[in-house]
Amino acid sequence: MPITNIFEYKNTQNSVDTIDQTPQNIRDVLDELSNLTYLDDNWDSYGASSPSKQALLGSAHIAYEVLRNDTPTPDVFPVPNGNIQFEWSCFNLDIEIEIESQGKCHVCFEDLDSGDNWEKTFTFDLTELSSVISDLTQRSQNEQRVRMVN
Amino acid sequence: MTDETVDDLSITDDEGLLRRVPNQPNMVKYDENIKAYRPTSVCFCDRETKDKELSITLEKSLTDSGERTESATQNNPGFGLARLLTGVVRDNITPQQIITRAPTDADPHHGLIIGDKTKSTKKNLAKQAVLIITPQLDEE
Repeated sequence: MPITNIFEYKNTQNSVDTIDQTPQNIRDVLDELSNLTYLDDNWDSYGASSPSKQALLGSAHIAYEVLRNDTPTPDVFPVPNGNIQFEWSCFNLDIEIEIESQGKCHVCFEDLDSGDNWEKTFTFDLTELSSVISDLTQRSQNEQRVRMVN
Repeated sequence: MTDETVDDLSITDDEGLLRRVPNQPNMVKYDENIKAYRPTSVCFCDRETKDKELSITLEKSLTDSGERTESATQNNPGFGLARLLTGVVRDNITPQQIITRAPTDADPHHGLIIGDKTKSTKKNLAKQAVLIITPQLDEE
């Protein structure tokens, strides 16, 4: 069955219809994506396209695939070419994921601590991307622990 | 635009290059790493040219004509405005970018930042940009 909207995608991820098991961070992302479905062309005044359905559904898919319950919520932005971008600039990491569809995203990564930085396009194997997001999540947990101790 | 396009050195390094920042959706984020609000790198994308040519308003051209800097957003109520310095774009951004005048009937102060732009390039442009007008967000 083809999935035609964000809410339908969300429902396919919950095994019990009456209880919304979606973590808060993913719900926040889905809310942002829903708001972006109303964008018209030229929303940036420079000729941008409105977000594509493939990008919106791909973004929901990737949120479910790579975000853990305790991963910081990304900033969500439309890209003028119709894609969607998730961004984190925290814990000395800069991560940008530009999502084209469920099967394609472009990632820009920079670790300000180590100096490691790269850009890659991922298709269906998101293992390396999940690893990066796990590192981000771990750093956010460590930071919280330090705050609690102090 | 041809490959012979050259950097217009009559646009001096201390001149501002202005780029509008949408307010709906809000395209400004808080960057915890630099402890400041800044536009997202998405503000430095161009759909038509796949980011090769980025439209900007030449601030000195605008103000020399008697207009205020803020007028760069006059047709887009609520939009913010980010300023890049020409010298920073020429010297601190890779791959190399050049700046040209590209006046149009609608905007005689229109210019372009020309050059290939990777995702890192656009992120660096966003980090170098100074938000001189904050986008006005709708009350919720």
